[in-house]
Amino acid sequence: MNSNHVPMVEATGLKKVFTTRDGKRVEAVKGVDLTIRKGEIFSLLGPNGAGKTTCISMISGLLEPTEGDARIGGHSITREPMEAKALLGVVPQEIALYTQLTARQNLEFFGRMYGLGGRELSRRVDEVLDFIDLKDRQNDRVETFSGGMKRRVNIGVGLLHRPQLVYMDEPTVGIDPQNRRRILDTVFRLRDEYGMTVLYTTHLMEEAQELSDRVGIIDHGEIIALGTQGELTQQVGEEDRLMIGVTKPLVNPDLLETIRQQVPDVTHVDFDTVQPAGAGQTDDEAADAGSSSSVIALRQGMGLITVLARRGRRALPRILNLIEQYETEVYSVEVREPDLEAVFLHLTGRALRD
Amino acid sequence: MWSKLGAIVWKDLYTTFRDRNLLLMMFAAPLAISVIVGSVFGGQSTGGFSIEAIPVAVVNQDEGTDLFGQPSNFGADFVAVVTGGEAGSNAGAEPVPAATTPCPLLDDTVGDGSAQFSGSLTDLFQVTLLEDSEAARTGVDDGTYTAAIIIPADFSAQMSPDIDVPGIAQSEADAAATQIEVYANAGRTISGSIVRSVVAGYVNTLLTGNITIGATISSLIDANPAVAMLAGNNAEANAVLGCGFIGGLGTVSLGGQSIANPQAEEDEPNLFALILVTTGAAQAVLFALFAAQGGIISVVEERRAGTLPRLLTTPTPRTVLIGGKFTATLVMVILQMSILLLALLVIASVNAGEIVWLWGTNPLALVGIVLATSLAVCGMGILIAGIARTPEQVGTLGTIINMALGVAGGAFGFAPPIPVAYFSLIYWGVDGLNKLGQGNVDIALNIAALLGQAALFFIVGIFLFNRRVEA
Repeated sequence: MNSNHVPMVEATGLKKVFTTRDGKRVEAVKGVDLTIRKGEIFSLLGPNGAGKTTCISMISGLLEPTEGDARIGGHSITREPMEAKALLGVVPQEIALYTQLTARQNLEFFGRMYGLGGRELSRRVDEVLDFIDLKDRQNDRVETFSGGMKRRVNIGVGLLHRPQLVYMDEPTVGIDPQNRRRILDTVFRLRDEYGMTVLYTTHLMEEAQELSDRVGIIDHGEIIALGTQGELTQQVGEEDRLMIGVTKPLVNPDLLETIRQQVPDVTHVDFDTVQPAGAGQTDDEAADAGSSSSVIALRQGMGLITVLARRGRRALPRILNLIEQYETEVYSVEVREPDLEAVFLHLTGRALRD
Repeated sequence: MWSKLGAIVWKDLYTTFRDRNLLLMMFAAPLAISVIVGSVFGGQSTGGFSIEAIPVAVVNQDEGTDLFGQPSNFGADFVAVVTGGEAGSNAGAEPVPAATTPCPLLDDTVGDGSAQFSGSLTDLFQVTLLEDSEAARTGVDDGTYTAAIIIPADFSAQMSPDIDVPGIAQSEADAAATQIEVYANAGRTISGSIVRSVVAGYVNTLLTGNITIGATISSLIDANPAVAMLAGNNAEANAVLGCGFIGGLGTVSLGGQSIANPQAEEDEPNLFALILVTTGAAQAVLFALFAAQGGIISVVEERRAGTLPRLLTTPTPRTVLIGGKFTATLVMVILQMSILLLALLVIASVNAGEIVWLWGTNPLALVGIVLATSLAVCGMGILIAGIARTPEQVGTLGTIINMALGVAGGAFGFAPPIPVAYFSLIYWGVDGLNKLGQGNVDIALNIAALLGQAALFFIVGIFLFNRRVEA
């Protein structure tokens, strides 16, 4: 890991206020202070709507901050936007490509937008096509690509000009595990082989844990925790997280209260329903929710009881007994050591997926 | 910066020309409509008219004027042109004396004091001469006539050039107020347009011809006081000078093609070309408007697809991004208009068996009106892109605005009240092309109006667009 301590990004007092159609002011980001060091992978973790994208949109110059400023490599994004943007490569969450153009044409076009041209552009395009392993499909139109291949081109566009900072906005949303693995490996390569700084946003705790040198947790437009994974989990002490899948979409609220009161060492009990697709949740979101539950792999329509307890394994039999008393069928059980999910739960009282 | 601008233009043009539906909309549709309309109403062979004579009521209230001591009545001359020197066949209609200018220099008109014409406009129009303008309008309203041509009492006076000749009293009327009223039936758009074109051509010929001749005589008088003396005191000389002015003997021209030359019987009116000009100009501008929106809509589509936000994170100024989009759309619109106008010219020429300069013979003027129109429609496209949130809104809003502009601008064959029409860029574009088609290159006002609207739309559109990006 590169531990260079010169800041790649310095955000101070970043605030963004939107005015809705009915004149209501919504404070999407509430004065964020953030420092990202050169050569690190920094993840911004938070649930959907927490303000991750708005925050990064201000850092990348897409949105004008209502207050505050951000510097990329020492250049102010508000006062020297062209210099700051030249150091930044962006990989947006959606496939932001021209699907009627070929992979090569897309790379060449965006390369020109970054000021590349001539042989240099051609050489960089070849390099990136090698990097994303799509040289054999370079002359095919992007609309003929699979979702994973489009993702790779989407990433490649952000790397063309060899940026010092790469911002990746939830790049694994809605793709299969194989391509997800490939993208996560790519992030490591960017840091380890090219010395790039990576700013990675995600709502998936596992990704943040696996990738990050440091993590910032954002909720309701504020950074509520910042540090290495070890530093953050220390905040929740020794609590284990028990994830108990049940076959019912709803449980008796008395059950949750009973667990909280009668089982020793339990500090928090939470229940969540795995939404069926189409009930306010897309397939991708449903897949992501399943992924955040990791090995439990709950089916849609089931429920998930999350319990925080200092000695989880000892508390588990008593909890299962209570669940049985409430005539609820257990589908799966998992005990987790303290992690970022627990940190978020500890800090906000809500699960990250809420 | 230029390489970035060029890249955006290339990308937009490349993607556009890969979109068959858009190409069909841009090029094939307006051409097809123009040709179909032309074929249906104009016939496919030279001189072979497939429509019946257009019933027209003519009310000549022209009281005539005195030109160098010679009585002139341009209104009567016009009647002679459209009737062949006599009234139409409708019973009860009172023939009005035709040209009243006995001109010793023009043998054809010397004789019984009336000019006798045999031009083909007599085939085109079935003329009924009336004395009451209200009766004529009522006739149009009830469908008896397609149009009423009402010539005002001071028409000749106002058409006469203002030359300061000692001893000769000239009209003091305001030339700018001169207008032959064409009251047309809105339901007969093509026929109405033909009548308007013929009247406009006649008036233009009078104006340009008489102004030129007037200027020549003025110069002559200025240079040689003896001429003034002669003009002021010699009746015969006055008659000669007076006959120099064009009455009903002028050519009513359209794009260099004579459509009614009373002295050349062999020339048939090129009705097909006339209709191609009328419909083609309207279609060219209207579809340019749609094409511009088709191009600019990509800004909104890119905003939704995420490519525009991505471009905004590159070190590329917004002005270059918008400039590139605007330039690409402008190129497409210019290309579309040029191809359409050229195609119509080719069709008219093939139909006539000779080159028909449908859009006049002044390429600079044509380039000017095409460029100004293209800028205005692209400006409107930017404005709509700034107002709309989604591509669907662009489509809906754009169609409503285009149709409203089309109606206000007379693109559908009927002329709206002039103050309303002035607000429509379509009016200025179509009017400019029609003027060129009639051989009139006085389109400076059209170009100025179009450029003014282009600038206004562009500035407001960019302002709104920037607000959208920030939202």
